[in-house]
Amino acid sequence: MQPKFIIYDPPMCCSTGVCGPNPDQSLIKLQDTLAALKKSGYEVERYLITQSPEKFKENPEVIKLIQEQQLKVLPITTMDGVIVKTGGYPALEEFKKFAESK
Amino acid sequence: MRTKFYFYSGKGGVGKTTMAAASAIHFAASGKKTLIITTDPASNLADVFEQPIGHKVTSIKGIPNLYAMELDPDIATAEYKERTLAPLRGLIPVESFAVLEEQLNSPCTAEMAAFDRFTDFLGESEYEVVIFDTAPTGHTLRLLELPVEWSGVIEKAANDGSGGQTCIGPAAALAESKAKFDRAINAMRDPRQTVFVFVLRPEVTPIYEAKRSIAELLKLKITSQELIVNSIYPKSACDNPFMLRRFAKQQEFLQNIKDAFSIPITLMELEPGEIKGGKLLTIIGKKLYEKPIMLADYTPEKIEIKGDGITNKFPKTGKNIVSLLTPKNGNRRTIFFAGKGGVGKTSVSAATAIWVANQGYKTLLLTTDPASHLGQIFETEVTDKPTPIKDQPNLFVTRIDAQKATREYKEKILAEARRKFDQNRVMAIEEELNSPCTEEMATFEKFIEFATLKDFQVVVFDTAPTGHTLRLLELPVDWNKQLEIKTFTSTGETEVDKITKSRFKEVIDMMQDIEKTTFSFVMYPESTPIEEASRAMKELLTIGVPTGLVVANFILPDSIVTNDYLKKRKAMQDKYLKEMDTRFTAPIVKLSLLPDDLIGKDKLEEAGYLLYGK
Repeated sequence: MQPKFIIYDPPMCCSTGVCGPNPDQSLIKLQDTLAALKKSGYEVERYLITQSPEKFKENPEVIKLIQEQQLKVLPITTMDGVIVKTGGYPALEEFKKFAESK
Repeated sequence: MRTKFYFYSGKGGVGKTTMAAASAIHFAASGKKTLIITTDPASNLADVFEQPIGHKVTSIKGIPNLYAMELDPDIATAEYKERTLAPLRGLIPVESFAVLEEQLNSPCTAEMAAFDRFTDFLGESEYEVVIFDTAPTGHTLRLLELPVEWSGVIEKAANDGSGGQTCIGPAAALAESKAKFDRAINAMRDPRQTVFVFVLRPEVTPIYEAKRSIAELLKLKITSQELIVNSIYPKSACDNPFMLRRFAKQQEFLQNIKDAFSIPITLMELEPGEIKGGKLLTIIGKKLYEKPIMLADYTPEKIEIKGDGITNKFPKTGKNIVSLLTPKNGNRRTIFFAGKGGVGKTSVSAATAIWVANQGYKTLLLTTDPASHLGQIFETEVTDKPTPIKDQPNLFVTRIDAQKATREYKEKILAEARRKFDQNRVMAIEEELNSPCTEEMATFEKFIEFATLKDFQVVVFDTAPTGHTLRLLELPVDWNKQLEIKTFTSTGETEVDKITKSRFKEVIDMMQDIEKTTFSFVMYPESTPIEEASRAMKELLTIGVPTGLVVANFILPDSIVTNDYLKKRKAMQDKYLKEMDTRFTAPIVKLSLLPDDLIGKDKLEEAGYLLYGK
């Protein structure tokens, strides 16, 4: 079965950052990565801490990391509930590597 | 039982709160359980009912069946924030929690929260009648347009597989809200359930406003509309040339209104004193519903307009006036005019700009009010580019065109995106740019652009109505905080962010510096505008901006007080002028009620001399 990725985003206005004072290029790039992943049949979900806090609460490991390292530990990426990356978004190759290692 | 909804709107200061309150009392007295809600951030419902109300349903003393609520955008936002973040409280460190709270202080959240609350009352309820004393026109319409826009955003987000995120919130959570928004808009479109009432005065601008609003509503498929023409002078009170001239003008406008609109129109006379408290409101309610004077059955009088019997005496210009209105130490002078709608802010701004231009300074007059009528009073087209005024040296006018600014802002971002990303990605970004926040950002960008403009020696801002203005002005501070959050989280601060931040700081510094900025309030000597201005002044002080000037407008000249009606009005004005003296520390300049509307350069120039001297 294909793995399921979840990205836990830091606080921001929207998923591409275009509605903030300056659009964030790394976020726009992430959208491309996610689109490619979906095309390859992976399941990906994204949650913003200020919009879906209950999703954060569902993963005690994510909460524990925030308790230890504050918000700068975000974004966090999990694969089937296990944390695979913190403090930045994985590139497309990284996602694929995580999936292969499964 | 179906609840019946009434929406009262119209330009600020036309008496819509009074009419809404009088209707509420009428329905309550006829045994219907009635709720009156204001969504105006600068509401005066409490003043009208002479009791505190606040952000909760409150029963009105001495009037059975009547309840009122003042929807406070700040509290609605706080409640919304609390609901959103509750799952994480106590679970994550306090520092992190504080950052999340701060993030939710964005302008989007406030708009969403207020709207969410607003639609709550458009569903089933225990009330037979719900009356909305809505916010001023431009803002109201945006609020009304939102359900349509948002429903669109929600559907798209659920279907396009973009990860289910929208600027408003995750699509799943919004599905519940969508049903609520749809129900709200359907209720507004059903003429058996909803009536929209526009209140206006028989003057040029309000007529134009009402026409525009009615057309906007029709576009939204809202058809059940009525008009109330308020503040009509009783003929018996017009026994001198000045008042007769004003009466004649009003009658002329009544004829125009009769010709222009085909919806039911009720006429209301101007009361000599203030309308406050249950007794007076009951009388007004009776006039509205028991023995209404309908314009259809009324024949406006045709009176030949003669002289006005007035000779103007201009005061000598004081030193303090010069120092408030002209540049100091080579710095640019920025003058803001704020105040409740209908206080004559635009006319005073224009008169001030002409006065300053006549002193020899290169002056820009700019409006941020989406419902501005600067073009009408200068009898010229006002665009988003500074344009010189004919026969008036040193003066340029411009306006912030929100729609155009939004288009330009979108185009700027999309052009950048097209260089870097493929078509699908560009389309997704375009979709996200259609969120309601984009207009706020774009308008704000323009505001910053003009506020930091170096080409002029004096810039006069004819600002939007109070609540909106304050939000616009508080934005630099808020966005600054947003950027600080970005620094705090791992996203990091980019070079672009640093530049944005320094521009914001420049604007904030300028507004706080009395050598560079004169923040002024325009009001007429009555309770509501004074209360509103006081509240706004306090709010401005919290962002470090002091008030430099107060303009008291529409003062009855002594020479025209020829009968009891006018004596009563004059006495009321005197009482409130005294109150202004004791409450405000900034200098007060007065402008008398003039026989004609301030249209055209010559009349504005004269008003400028009356205000600041020659």
